[in-house]
Amino acid sequence: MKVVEIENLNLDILPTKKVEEFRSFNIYPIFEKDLDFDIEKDLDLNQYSYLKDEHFYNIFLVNNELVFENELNKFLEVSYEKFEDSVNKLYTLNSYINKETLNLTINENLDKPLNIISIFQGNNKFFTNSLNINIKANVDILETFHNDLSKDFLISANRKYTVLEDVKANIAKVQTLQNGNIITNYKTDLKSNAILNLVNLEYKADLALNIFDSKLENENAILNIDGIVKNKAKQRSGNIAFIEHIAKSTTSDIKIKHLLDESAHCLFDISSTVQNSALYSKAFQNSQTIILSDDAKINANPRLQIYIDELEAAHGASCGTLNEDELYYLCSRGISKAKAREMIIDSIELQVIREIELKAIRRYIKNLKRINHV
Amino acid sequence: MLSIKNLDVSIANKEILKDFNLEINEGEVHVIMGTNGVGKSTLVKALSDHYDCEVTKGEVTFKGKDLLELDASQRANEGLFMSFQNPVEVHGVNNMYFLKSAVNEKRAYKNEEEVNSAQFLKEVKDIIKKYNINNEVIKRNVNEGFSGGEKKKNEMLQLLVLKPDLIMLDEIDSGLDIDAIKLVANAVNSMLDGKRSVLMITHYDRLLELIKPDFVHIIKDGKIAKSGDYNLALELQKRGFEGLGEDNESS
Repeated sequence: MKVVEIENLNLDILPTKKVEEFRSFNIYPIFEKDLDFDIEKDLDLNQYSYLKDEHFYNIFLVNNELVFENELNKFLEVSYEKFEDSVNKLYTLNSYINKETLNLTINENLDKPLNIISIFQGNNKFFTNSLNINIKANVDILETFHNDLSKDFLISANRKYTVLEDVKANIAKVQTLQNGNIITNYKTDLKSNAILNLVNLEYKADLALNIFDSKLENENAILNIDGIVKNKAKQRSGNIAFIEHIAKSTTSDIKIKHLLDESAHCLFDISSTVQNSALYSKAFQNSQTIILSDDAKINANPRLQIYIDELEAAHGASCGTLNEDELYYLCSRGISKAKAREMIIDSIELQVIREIELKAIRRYIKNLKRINHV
Repeated sequence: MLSIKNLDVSIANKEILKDFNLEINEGEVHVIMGTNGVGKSTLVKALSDHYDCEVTKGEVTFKGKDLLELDASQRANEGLFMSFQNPVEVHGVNNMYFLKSAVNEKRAYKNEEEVNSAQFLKEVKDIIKKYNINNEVIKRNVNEGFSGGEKKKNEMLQLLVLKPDLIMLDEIDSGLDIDAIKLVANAVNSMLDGKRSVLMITHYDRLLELIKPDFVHIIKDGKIAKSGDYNLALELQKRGFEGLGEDNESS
């Protein structure tokens, strides 16, 4: 069955080339592909135990169910909620497959970070993966999307992060999904003085699209999104965001670095609106791209819509190649050109990975990258 | 060790070196002097396969091998080292990681095993201590945020770690105080074992007082116009290029 053939589906929610953000980044063909909508049940999670790490509380998210050790019951609460709407119409796609969305509430501070490992098993399948996380205490979360067994799949993932007053949430997502496609639809609800730091690391998927819908409706809320996209071959990655500043003194800062080789294609389309009620707000957007081949390309469209004078705002998009002087300097010391490129590219990635506060998460990501040769 | 025959080098389609010839044997210290823009830096950059330099004619052999057939990293691994007039900042690349990678690339080139990490760290720390280099240098990124003097010291650290056969110093003394110059001289002299050779570019004799050259060459019109020993440098210091008739006006 194809996604376009889902019963009662409002086809308007699937973006075509006529939608501005997707004009040069057409994803509609994946909705017309034949996929298997049956999910494999009773998976043996032991085969994924290598993704667990003793420095984390490890949770598996399989077929929209959470699997974790009993010890976490005192910190976490699991329930189900109805799907919401979003300015991003794709956010409602999963509601045509599942009745409700999974809801995880973090009630207390944890002494270790959470590692939420999403599992997808089976070739040529359509997976939904919906999770709302309500964060009531400071927390560090890693979301791992890894797959090297299955291929030709499509994942439609929803994430809603609600961060309570005066709470700080650091969430890192690392994606090493080989031979598949993933669309992640994000919504955020940040209460007063809440801080949400999101770091997205996109590596292996054929298509990885993140769409953010964030209304900053409470004073002093801060949303930081940092990302690295490292693509090659014909991989495509996109970051689309609809950020709206409504309350006073809210901050949004979106910075994505792209490292593109061979025929990779990326999209950076960020719309930040600062309403006239959002005095003293800050809105920043930045796309930096290093193009490593003649055929790689980036469509960068940072947009600010500002209705007040009392704010700070900046947007920018830069595109270039590796610094020739730096490359030459390394080569002049006997380092081969390929190794010199790798060293400089790694250093660019590291700048983003260092935005992740917790060392345990940075170390986990380093190991996962090594396994995946990215 | 190094034989340059009838070398023509252009930069941005402008011919800089014309029919340039030079022979450097093992253990010799050569100095290149000349007015600004005559091709001194172009010479060492061409030998190091800098991307700006286009060799349009000539032959260069280094330890019996055709140097022009090798790329920059291969030339370095064969034993060529050029210290930069303005060392490049390589953002985000840790200095220690860079040094170790360079050493291991050289070892791999020679089919040797990788260096032992603990031993290498000890070697580097010993060098830092002996030559009064700031310990912070190995913790920071390559030349990032370094002062001019620190960058030159980092060049010396690389020289001492990589142990090349031909050391090319492109105005290593520019911007250095007398103590730093002494440090550079000590480092270079410590490597002169009768087999290692040096090709220095400098305007001033304060470095030459400390690293005694065997040969001094003055470049003019893209080639060596005059050669001599240390006395030529002293004469140059006294009378200038114009006085010796080796400025650009006296063609």
